[in-house]
Amino acid sequence: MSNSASQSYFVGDLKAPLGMASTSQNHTAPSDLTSIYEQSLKKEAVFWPVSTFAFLFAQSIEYYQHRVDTIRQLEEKLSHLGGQVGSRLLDSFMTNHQKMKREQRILPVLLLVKVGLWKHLFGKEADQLEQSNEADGTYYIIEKDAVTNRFISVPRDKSSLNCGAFLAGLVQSFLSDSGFACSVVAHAHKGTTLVVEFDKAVVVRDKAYDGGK
Amino acid sequence: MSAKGKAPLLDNNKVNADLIKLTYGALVAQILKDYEKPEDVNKQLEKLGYNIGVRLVEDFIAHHNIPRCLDFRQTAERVQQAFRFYLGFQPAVGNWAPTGNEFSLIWDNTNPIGDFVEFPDNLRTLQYSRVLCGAIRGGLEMVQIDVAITIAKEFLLGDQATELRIRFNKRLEDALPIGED
Repeated sequence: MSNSASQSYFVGDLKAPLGMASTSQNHTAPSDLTSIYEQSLKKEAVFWPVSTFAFLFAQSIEYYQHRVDTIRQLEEKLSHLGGQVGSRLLDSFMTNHQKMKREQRILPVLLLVKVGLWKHLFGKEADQLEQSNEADGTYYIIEKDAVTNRFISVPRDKSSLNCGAFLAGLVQSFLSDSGFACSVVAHAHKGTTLVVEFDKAVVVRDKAYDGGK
Repeated sequence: MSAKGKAPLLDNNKVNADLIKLTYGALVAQILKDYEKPEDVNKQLEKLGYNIGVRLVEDFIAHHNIPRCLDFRQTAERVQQAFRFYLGFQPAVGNWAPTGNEFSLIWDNTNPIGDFVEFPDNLRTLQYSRVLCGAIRGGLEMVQIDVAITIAKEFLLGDQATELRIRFNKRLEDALPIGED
């Protein structure tokens, strides 16, 4: 093979597709903006194929799986991972969200998770939001086809594992960091049900708003 | 009507890139906590990427009707295409070695997975993009191409671009399926 032949085919010089991709996706900063402070906070949400997430998530589980003894521990690890994501997501989500407003009541903030956050993450709303009849301050966010569970086949001897723990952790830290201390647990019911249990103080505070009227 | 009918299906198959980037970041942080030494973390990330690549190649071929690559340049294009598909953003292919067996994937002024990353000074040997190298290596190994990959430039460490250098080692013959030695 001659030198000139290989050099005439210099794919790296095709700046055009790269530039096009960067403007159409609003994904990367123009090169003249050197400082992060000069870049806009608002970014158009960029979506990647679900496979990318599925591969990464599957590998996360594989990583943890060899480092825990029980399924409960594994779920805790996943929940922790989700929590790390959730609290960071809160910032980037709120700056991009249209209203950019701090919610004060329980119901609006739950709707924000069900509609806003879910659309931001998965391009669709969560399937249902329900309130528990029995316990005060307990709500259910129901997602029939959670991304975290769609591609993970759970072996029979580990059937109690629910990878929705990742989402639970995510929602928990998202809510807690917005000032609604709560605990969120994932259950396999109607797909994946995230049981959101708000702290008593939060429930009391929410009721105080009603009393003031 | 058909467009409306298709929209949810499409949406259902996409997730926010931020979620993926943050999940990877959280995972790297966790691995760093477990292993402490950046060198060990790099190894884990390489392994993680390799495992992804091994599985990813099948998904990629299933989604794209692509013929067999006849030379390494076509392979480079495919890798580029794969990045466009999975990470929504295509790197440039360039810096070919005159012999044609070595090229670079270049992301100008960005790291495809590093939007939220800040490097502390004591972790400059940590290779955050190692997972990409692993994924390319794993993916190509599944199509009988053995490559060696180094990170030539890292945007997160202050370089102008992220550049992965990919060198063709050899064609693998009679590759056995994984797990059968």
